[in-house]
Amino acid sequence: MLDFKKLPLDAQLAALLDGETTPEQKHELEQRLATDEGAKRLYDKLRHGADFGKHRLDDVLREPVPLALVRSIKSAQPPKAPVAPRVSRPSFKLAPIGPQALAAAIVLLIAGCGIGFFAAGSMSTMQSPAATTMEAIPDSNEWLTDVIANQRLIARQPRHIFEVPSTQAEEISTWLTSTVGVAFRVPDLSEQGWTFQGARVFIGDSRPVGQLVYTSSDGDLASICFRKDNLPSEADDFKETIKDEIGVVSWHNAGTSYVLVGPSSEASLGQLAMQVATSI
Amino acid sequence: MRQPVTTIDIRRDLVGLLPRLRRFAMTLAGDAASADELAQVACERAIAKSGQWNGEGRLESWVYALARQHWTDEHRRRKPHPTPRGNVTDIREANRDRTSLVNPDVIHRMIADMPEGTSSAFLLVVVEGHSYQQAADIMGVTINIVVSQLAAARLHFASVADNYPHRY
Repeated sequence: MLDFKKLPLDAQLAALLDGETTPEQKHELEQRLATDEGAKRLYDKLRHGADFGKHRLDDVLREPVPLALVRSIKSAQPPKAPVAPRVSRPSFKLAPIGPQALAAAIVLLIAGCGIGFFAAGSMSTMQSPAATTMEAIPDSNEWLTDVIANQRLIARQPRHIFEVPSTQAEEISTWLTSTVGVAFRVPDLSEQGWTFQGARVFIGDSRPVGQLVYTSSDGDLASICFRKDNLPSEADDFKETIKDEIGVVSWHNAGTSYVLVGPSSEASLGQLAMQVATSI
Repeated sequence: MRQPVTTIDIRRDLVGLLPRLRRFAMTLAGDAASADELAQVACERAIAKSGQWNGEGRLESWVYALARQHWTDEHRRRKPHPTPRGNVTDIREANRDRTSLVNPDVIHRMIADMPEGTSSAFLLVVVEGHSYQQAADIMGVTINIVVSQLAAARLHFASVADNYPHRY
């Protein structure tokens, strides 16, 4: 609580300027200002200082905000959705009687032996695919460099952003499926403000990559790129990275690597990628 | 994996708030580089804690409080380091020339030269229209301190303005 009476005069007059006085305090101060020349001078000085300071702080707003700061916020990863609290269940007490415990032990012993036998038998057949996978991992991100370079190139030539226009949907489907070896559908992103313009094929890390090109009403360019791969299923999903003006969200599904690439200033690129993943 | 809509909205809101957040950070940090760093940390904290933001009240009050809290914590940890602050005379000299007065460096120095907390209180109440109580909550101080800081800030600006002959 503001103890007004104990405040020095300059603070009381500042409160008057800020409208933080009660009607009584305001009346009392105004009477003093009418009769006390020193108080009036102090009041005018405070008001003058406020006007000056306000203008100077308004000047700070005219300074440009660093683009890197904007990007860092747009690309900041929000926390994962909070885990729903567990529904309390009636407590279950595990207290088997003697014969039950013996029967369970025998069942577990038989099951354990069976699993061990089959696991040992299949060990040799599992080794070769694992080795192939390990070899594939180091170069798994190489193609992203080519995707970004390609995106940057077509963004600079807006009149040549596709090879086959969106009007030739059947040609796009046949061409990309046979060239890339991946069956796909063209996601409809019109509700998110992105219009499908056409498709291209380019080479990413020595393999054909299919590219579906979209534009926004602002003239921004976004692409969905995909290629066949042999990445493990535990590869990073929906990993979002920024390379200067280009944002990249990559994921993997059923032997295919996907990338959504667009302007890094687009804050909802990650969400858009998740939508693409469910509809492509 | 789907992101909640609220977290996406808060990033957009934060980007819209950036110029003002950066200015508030400037009143705390005193220089542009530190202010940018502080604004970024405050935004990252706000995004990380976006579940706590219920959408009521002013978003900037909450984000400002996060920035001020971080600044206070860091300030306690940090050893005092010499900053290239100008003295009042330098600023008054600069004020005589309109072109130098709109120079961001001069304005930053003018803010940095003020006693701790005074420019923040001034910004919150006089420029952005927060109440004394709201400003005290953001700054983590009592209302009486805010009132004293406001009077001190006005008198400081008035003394600087005395040496500024042009209309502003």
